[in-house]
Amino acid sequence: MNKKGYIFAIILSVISSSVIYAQTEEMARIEGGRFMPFYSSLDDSVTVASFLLDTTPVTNAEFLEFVRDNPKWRRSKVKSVFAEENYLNHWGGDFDLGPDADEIKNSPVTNISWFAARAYAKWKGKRLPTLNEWEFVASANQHKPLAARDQKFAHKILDWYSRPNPEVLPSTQQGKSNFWGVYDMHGLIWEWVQDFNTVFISGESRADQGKLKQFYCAAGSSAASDADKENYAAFLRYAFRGSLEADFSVGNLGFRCARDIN
Amino acid sequence: MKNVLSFATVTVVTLLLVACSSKKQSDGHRQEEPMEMAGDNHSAHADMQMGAGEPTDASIYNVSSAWKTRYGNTIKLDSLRGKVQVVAMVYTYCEHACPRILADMKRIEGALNQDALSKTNFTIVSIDPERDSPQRLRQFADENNLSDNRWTLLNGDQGDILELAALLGFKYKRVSETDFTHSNMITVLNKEGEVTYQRNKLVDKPTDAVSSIEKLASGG
Repeated sequence: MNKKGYIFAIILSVISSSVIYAQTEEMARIEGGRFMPFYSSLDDSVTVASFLLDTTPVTNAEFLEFVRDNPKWRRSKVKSVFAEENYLNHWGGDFDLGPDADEIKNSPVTNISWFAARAYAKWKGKRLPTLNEWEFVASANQHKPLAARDQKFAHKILDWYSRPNPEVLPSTQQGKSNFWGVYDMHGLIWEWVQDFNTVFISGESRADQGKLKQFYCAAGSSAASDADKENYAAFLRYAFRGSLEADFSVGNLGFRCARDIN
Repeated sequence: MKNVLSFATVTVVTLLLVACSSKKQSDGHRQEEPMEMAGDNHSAHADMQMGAGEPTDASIYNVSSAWKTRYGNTIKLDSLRGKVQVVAMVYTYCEHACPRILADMKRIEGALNQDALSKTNFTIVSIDPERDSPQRLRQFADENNLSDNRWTLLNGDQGDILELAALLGFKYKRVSETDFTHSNMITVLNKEGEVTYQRNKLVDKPTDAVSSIEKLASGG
């Protein structure tokens, strides 16, 4: 009796530790800190609390599981208020990744709306990262957490921004991970964040607009300094987010999930 | 394009709903309007539910979020269905744009013809749920003479507010402990909860909004 109980306990602990292992394997612990976002009307730096972030963007195969489990997010069922007609339009059907299935199953899922990304995160018991969390992790290069001022790093990101999108997105995790062990923050897709709709580019907030105008000018000028270029990558991301609506389903826009530490 | 198509659908659906739509509305606010509740008998209620069915594809009433009214009652947005809704997202401690948005809504209210007025409701959603408690919303409504039968004030949780903002295309950001920067937006929803008219700036005369509402009100 005792022995049985003992074995049972071992089995249980093996199961639970493997579950924990699987979870931590996918998510990286991000130690909170302060950083300088592209702009902030609050003050100069922003504090991000520690949190967990998926090490890779959500893939087509993973999203397919979600769609199977949640009929209302099927391509044929989704309500137009939650996703425009491009939703998952690179797939062959509701449960069919299409002719490139083998190639794209491990590629980031794109053509998904903010609502869909959010629903997926909820299904996983997670949430979308906030804009500040995302930018905080995105400012890490391979060797240090805050590398936004590193020119080589900034130029590498801009290089990617200047390349056209490939017809078929490569798989995740092809490059090197950053300081936090997180992959593909740059170079593969753009990503939804929870509060994408806090970015103003239409003039409601004068402080933001001033900064953006300055960058529009910099963009048109060949005399833009290297300091401008460092921030120019961030400017592109903020401008892009500012142009999004939550139902947009765009070919190079995917997401990854985050979770609070408790 | 999308809107035109779905508008056609909505017109058909709302035509089927005329008879019960006002019932639906009073049901959503039953505790706010005890007089109407008395007349709300059970079998009529059941008929109404059958007729109403699911929200249309383009309706924001597809969300399942729950909100608190100024009286502390919990409602789903779906209970706003059946009337044309004039919606704004504000915070009551705002000293700049929000009072003007509210003034614009009241100007719209004042300019509507009697028929449209009876088929229209004004909904204010707070973007500052911690400070804009139901009690605070009630006080705000009293101070501004926002009547029970035509004004709904809602308090919700952060995630649901963010979701509603995303549905309306409303942008906001906390800029200090006490203030937000936000769109100056007034949205008109048709009786099915589809966005049919939006205005992003403060204007002197709400002519466009009024004609849009009157058209929707008479259309079903």
